[in-house]
Amino acid sequence: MATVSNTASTAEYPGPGIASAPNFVHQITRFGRRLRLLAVLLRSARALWVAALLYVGLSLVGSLLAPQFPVFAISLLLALGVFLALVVPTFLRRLSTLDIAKAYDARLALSERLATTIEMLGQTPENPFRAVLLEDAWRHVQEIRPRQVFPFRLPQRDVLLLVLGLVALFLWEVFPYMAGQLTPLAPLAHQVAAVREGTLIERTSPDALVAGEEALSPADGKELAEPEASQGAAQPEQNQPLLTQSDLNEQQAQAQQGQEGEEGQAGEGGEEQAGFSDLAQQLEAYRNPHINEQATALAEVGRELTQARPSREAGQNLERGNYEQAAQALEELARDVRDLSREDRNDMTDAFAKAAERAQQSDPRLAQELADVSREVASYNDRATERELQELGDAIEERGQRIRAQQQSEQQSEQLRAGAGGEEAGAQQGDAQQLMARAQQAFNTSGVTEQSGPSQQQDNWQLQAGSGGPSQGGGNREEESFQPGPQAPRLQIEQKPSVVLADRGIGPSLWSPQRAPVAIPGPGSAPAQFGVTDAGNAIISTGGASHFVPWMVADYVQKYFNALSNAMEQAP
Amino acid sequence: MISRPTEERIEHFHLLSRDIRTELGKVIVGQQAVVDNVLICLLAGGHALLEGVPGLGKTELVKTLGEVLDLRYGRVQFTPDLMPADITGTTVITEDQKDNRFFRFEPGPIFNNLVLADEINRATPKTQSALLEAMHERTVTVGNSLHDLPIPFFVMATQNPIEMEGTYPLPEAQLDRFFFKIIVEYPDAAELEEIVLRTTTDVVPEVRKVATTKDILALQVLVRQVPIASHVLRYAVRLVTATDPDSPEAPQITRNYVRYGASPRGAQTLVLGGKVRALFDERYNVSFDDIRAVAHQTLRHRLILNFEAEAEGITADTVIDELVMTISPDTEE
Repeated sequence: MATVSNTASTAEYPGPGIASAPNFVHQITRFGRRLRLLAVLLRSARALWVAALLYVGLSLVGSLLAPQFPVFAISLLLALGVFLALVVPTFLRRLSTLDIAKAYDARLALSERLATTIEMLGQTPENPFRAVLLEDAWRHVQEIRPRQVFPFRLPQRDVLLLVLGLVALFLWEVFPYMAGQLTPLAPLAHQVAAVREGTLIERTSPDALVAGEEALSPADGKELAEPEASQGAAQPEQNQPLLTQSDLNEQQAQAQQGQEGEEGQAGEGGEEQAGFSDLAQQLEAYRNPHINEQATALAEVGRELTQARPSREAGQNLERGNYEQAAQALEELARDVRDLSREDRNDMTDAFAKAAERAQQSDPRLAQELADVSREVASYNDRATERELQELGDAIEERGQRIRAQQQSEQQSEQLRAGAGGEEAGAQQGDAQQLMARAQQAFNTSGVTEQSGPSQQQDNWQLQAGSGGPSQGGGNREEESFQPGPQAPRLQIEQKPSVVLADRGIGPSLWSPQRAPVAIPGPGSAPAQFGVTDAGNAIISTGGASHFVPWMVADYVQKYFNALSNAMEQAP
Repeated sequence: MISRPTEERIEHFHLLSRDIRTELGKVIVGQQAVVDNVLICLLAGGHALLEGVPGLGKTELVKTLGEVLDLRYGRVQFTPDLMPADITGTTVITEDQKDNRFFRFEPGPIFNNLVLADEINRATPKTQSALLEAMHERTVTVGNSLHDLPIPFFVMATQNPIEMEGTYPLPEAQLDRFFFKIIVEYPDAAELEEIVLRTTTDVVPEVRKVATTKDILALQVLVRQVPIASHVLRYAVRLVTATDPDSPEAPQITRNYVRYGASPRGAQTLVLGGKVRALFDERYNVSFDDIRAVAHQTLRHRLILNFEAEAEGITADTVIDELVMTISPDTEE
């Protein structure tokens, strides 16, 4: 702090003309800037604590009451809003010169010299003491060093609180992961790496893909090998399993070119037939060889569920193949689960347990869902039962969509094959286009769901091949939706556009839910669709989990850097 | 004098006050606070009431002050049989050389610039009232004639807190006429040694006159021109308001122990006293410290405490201490 003499002597007057009212006011105003910044700093320290407590409170309450929402992101936004609401008015508040003078008078024990001078400068008629007082005050002002008078220093209490806060943050964010995983980001990093690597594989290694499928599905390998072999030599670029809209248009364009060529040249109908055949083979390639097993498993599950009165309706619908209605029945059951009698609960426990055993071989994930329901019903945990039943309904509905899409795809494939064999000579351009359109429609319909097939073996292979990423565990719907693969050109995020619940165990800390929300920018309308490529390029973030922030930054850099480097490599 | 530049007038003030202190110091040992407070009263144009046990130099101080200031000095020893006319003066029948008789007003000792009312509480209330009326009005009415008191007019009264037998304590309303009530404390050992040394030899200290009536009047004008910031003025007013037990700003101690608070004259005295003190401190504005420094002598005789205060031994100074601590200045920190 500056030491300022507390006395004045007329003998020390520097003389007239040095001190002037405008100079004095200007100097006092200049001192005010530092006061303002200091006020903002002090207010920020307090506001930070209010915001932090608000954030923690909202996060805890939100995690308990509404874990499906991006609680941390919302809490962070609210806390940030409160922080700004407390700090911004202080920043915007202009201090009057009188207030500034009072503050410096009090801090430097200037015996109210500055404030009296400021007041007197505006007084009329002029006080006889005006000149001497201004001289005296000016002399003191010249000795003031605002940096020393008001250093940017937080009170000891605030500093202590900040240190405690940092320790708490460390314990909260880092400590839980120190014993087990090297980094708390590992699970999510693996998950995202799997997505990206899956994309990479489908772009670069179609042969390995086919080989992998053959190795994993020898029964279907023969079916796949034939078209793959015929394609591999002639048109390797068409072997890409990622068949996008542009790919289809390209196929269509090739087919049209074939049509045009037919008009001009004889014998080019063979190329058109080859086009149909190729398209049929493409659709065939997207066929899931295990879909029939899943349909059978669902029917067996339905049979077991009919043994319990509450789940009878759902079971009957499953047996009939009415998957949407079965899912709907399960949701209704979830709503009424609190009204179940003890006997009904016992029946349900047994029925779902047996159903889980039935599905274990053909669809382990579905079996896990069923086992979860059985366990929660037995434990009388109604809320968890409700949630598990809803998830089971979602899983069944999803499988139903896959099965239906597969059936449509098979129909289209048959039509295409029929078109290639029976109408080879007289195929009209309109018929060909109609077939292509239907094939495209079938593809799009199937593309809404996981075209890679729900085969557990395929999923495992994809993830392992991608990054050695997350284990096959989990078995939750979100994980399935989130899984990429060489034959999964598009993914669907169901029910919650732009929000995906990632794999288990990604919770940012002990206090956060196990399923941390992973936000992926999407089109914004339900159901959100985006391709694996989109997912790979999207900035995937976890709302509010602070320790993900550095990772997010790295993610941005990596993506844009990669994009730039790729562009440079491809440049001539 | 007014037309002189302010710097010169301030310099004149400092020189005079320093000289007065120096001359008084030749006779009065120690008691610097008492001397300063007496000077504050003089320069602010108020009257002082000095209270202390006998032998502390109260009378000597006033007498020396009269000699130093070159003012007409008068002394009245208050006794129970003292009549008002003994103070104000009276009309007497006089004969001229032609044996013509006529009434002539013979002014009393109050018609001096500096009046020492020694042991004022020993006179009857009637006599006290005569003096106190003159202090306030600065005029004396004798018969049908109104007589102006000289300017400057400065009364210094002394009273003895002990020997209450046969005394007439001053009424509160009349106490309010005194600018300050100054408590004269015992000198410390070193001062006492010096007093004994000075007064037991054949050396009689001589003081010189350093200020005239004109000087005193000029300084009184200068004092009133000292500026005071609005927030300092507010602080003085808040201090006085806080002595009123019916005021919403009154602290608990006021509500508990004060029957009547200080009058508006108390606020005026705080500010005027603060102005003189600021000049003494070679400053050109009144500060919070100036107000605090004169709070006790300004307010102690203006507070009327209740029975509970007397029973619990709470004095006016205790209340003022609490007020000064409780009432915080209005500053932006």
